[in-house]
Amino acid sequence: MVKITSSDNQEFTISKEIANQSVLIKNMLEDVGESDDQPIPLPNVSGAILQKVIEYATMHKDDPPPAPEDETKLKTSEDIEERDKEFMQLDQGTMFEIILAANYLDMKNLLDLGCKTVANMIKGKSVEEVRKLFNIVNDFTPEEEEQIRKENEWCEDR
Amino acid sequence: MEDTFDSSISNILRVSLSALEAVNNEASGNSVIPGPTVNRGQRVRDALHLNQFGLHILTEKASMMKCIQKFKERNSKSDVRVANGHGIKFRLPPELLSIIFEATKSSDLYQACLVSRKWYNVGNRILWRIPDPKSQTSFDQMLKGMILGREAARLSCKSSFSSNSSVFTQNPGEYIRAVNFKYWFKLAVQFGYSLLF
Repeated sequence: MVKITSSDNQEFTISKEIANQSVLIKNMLEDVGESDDQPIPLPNVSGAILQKVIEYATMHKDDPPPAPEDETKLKTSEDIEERDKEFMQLDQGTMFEIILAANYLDMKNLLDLGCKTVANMIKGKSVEEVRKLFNIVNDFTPEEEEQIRKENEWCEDR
Repeated sequence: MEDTFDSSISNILRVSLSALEAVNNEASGNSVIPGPTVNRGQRVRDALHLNQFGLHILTEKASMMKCIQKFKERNSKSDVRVANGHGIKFRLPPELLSIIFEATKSSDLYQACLVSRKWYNVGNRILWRIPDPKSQTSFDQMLKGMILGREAARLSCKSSFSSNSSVFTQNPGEYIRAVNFKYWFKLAVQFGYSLLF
């Protein structure tokens, strides 16, 4: 078993196969050796988020090792498993925290899942809708916006 | 600034005309174009198409220049808006935004690039990396976008206020790594090359 502590000092005890899904923790375990039972501090992740991340890792502990990345294959946000879709039904704040945590913990599958989920949120929305959804301020001048529209109009959906 | 624009247009027209001439010369036995033989009819069609495209850009020139001019004037004023209070909730750094955009199809990415400067700076290079125009019309628009982008990029470099505006400092053509050759008529390769470098 492996012990980890969150930024707010919550301690979690998890099995090694779950811990190893995080490349960060896996490398740390290799560095400190097996015998050390000191908890691993994860100062960038809160307890609530770590709880969700462990939930995800537990759900995926029996997954086969990922196939080597196919560079020529275009990425798509369409191929999300049903259980993962359910897992990502969270408020925006939590969702972003999970993406940041997955990036920090180096968990590629969870990071991809989070990013694809955001990609799906953008899908089919207008500029204004996206800004509203994520509470983003338009910082373009009208001239810049027009220029970009003209440069990129070839990929506008008609 | 007009001269590079004009040279783009005359470049297009020149390439198309010399291609027509080459096809013509070939008919009389003097092959000029080395390399694989392309169907003669196709080459005539390509040359004519490129010629029409050049003429189209010529007629559009006034409105394109107006757009760039307005952009330039705006850029030379000191009141260029500085990125202010980027969404508090959307706190993903560019490297993660980039993973999101990799999984976004181009029509959605087009919208995403218009959301904010941060999104544009991350999204535009992905949008242009492997452009996939869906028709000959959008392919022509893409070439037009490259001409516009190159002009704007040139201007931003010159503008003393470009440090305020982190957008438009790059020519979109520079992002291109591969192109869908379906609509990339052979002659545009010569012309497109001159846009990229």
